[in-house]
Amino acid sequence: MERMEVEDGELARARSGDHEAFRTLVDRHGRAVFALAFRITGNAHDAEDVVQETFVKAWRRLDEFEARSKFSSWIHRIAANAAYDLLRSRRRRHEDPLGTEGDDARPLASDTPSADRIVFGREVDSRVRAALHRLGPLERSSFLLRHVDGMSMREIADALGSDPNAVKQSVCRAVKKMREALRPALAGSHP
Amino acid sequence: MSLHLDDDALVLHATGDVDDPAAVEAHLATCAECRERRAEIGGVMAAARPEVADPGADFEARTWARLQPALGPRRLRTWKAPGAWLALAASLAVAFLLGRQFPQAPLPAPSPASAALDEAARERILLTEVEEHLERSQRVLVAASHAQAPGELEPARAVAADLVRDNRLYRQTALRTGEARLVDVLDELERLLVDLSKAPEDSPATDARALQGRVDDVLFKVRVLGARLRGRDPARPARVRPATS
Repeated sequence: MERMEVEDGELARARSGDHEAFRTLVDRHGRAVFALAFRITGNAHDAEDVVQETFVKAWRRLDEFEARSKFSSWIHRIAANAAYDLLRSRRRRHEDPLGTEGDDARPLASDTPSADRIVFGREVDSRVRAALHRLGPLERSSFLLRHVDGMSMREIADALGSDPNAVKQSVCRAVKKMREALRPALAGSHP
Repeated sequence: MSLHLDDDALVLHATGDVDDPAAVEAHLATCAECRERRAEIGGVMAAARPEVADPGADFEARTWARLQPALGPRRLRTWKAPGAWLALAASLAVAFLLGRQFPQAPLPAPSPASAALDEAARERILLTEVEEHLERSQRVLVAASHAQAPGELEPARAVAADLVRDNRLYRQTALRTGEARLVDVLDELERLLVDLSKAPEDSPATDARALQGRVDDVLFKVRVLGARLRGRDPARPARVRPATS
């Protein structure tokens, strides 16, 4: 409660144009925004661009922020939208959003299970990244925002300019694709 | 009637979004096959949490150093003040008439002096021009979005048509020089301006908030681009210079 009151004060000062108050908010929420953006875009360079875009938008739209909602939820919705836009833009241009062309170009790892847990972990991680790379922008964003960031279907739909049913279907398709990609590795872990 | 739950129901159960969780759980209690599939989905989701890179100890300082120049002063929302937008519409009408008397000159050809400017400086100039162009566009679009009578839209429509031409020039430059994100931004703006320039004279039906939001998005993106270009290594050859056609 006390922290919310402090944040309310910072928001009020930021609304009146106080850069230092806004900087406090950026410092407090920047890493969480970076993490969200990194998961969706798949690389640090794009994630930092999303952080920039998110906070510039927030600065311009502070008047639209409603005090009864949480600032962190609001800023995450802006970040989700910015990251999704970037991902869509990259896909339209057939660029590699994850910077993992090598990972994606090579076939999925061998189906031979590894006895070494570290190697196994790497294999799963590699498959996760490759599978995420293959998802469409809406599938990838919806899945990660729901599964990792804990946003509701409605919040995701609002953030991405979609509707909750489309988001729900995207999450289901994403899990189906992830399941197909990970099945060999996960099956190998339970001989 | 299906004997088993479909995959979507199991996925939505795993995410906590299934419509009737009690029914799903009752079925899972009696169906080993569905329990196995549900467990597999749970395993996939547990694994599908991509690692996030550490942005570094200087992340906050770095972020603010890039962000601060892009912030600028806070602005009041003019659409909430009818008097303010009416004044703006009036000034736009004057600007439009002046524009007819003294048409805006085309972009100047590079002079010897400008040719002597270093590449980074030219980048900054172009970005400044683009940003000013977007500011002009925003003013036009805001005024148009608040037009309430048939005659009020006309000045903004005409200015928008002029801005479309400038916009195409900037977009061509950005396209030629490979500024993909700038191209995206200008594409978006061009669609807005074209829509406005072709709007029926007696139609003030543009959604003010939606339009303002679209214009704001364009401005935000350009400000971020500007900050990014200003942060470029000055030794790096510039990739953007104004088109001359």
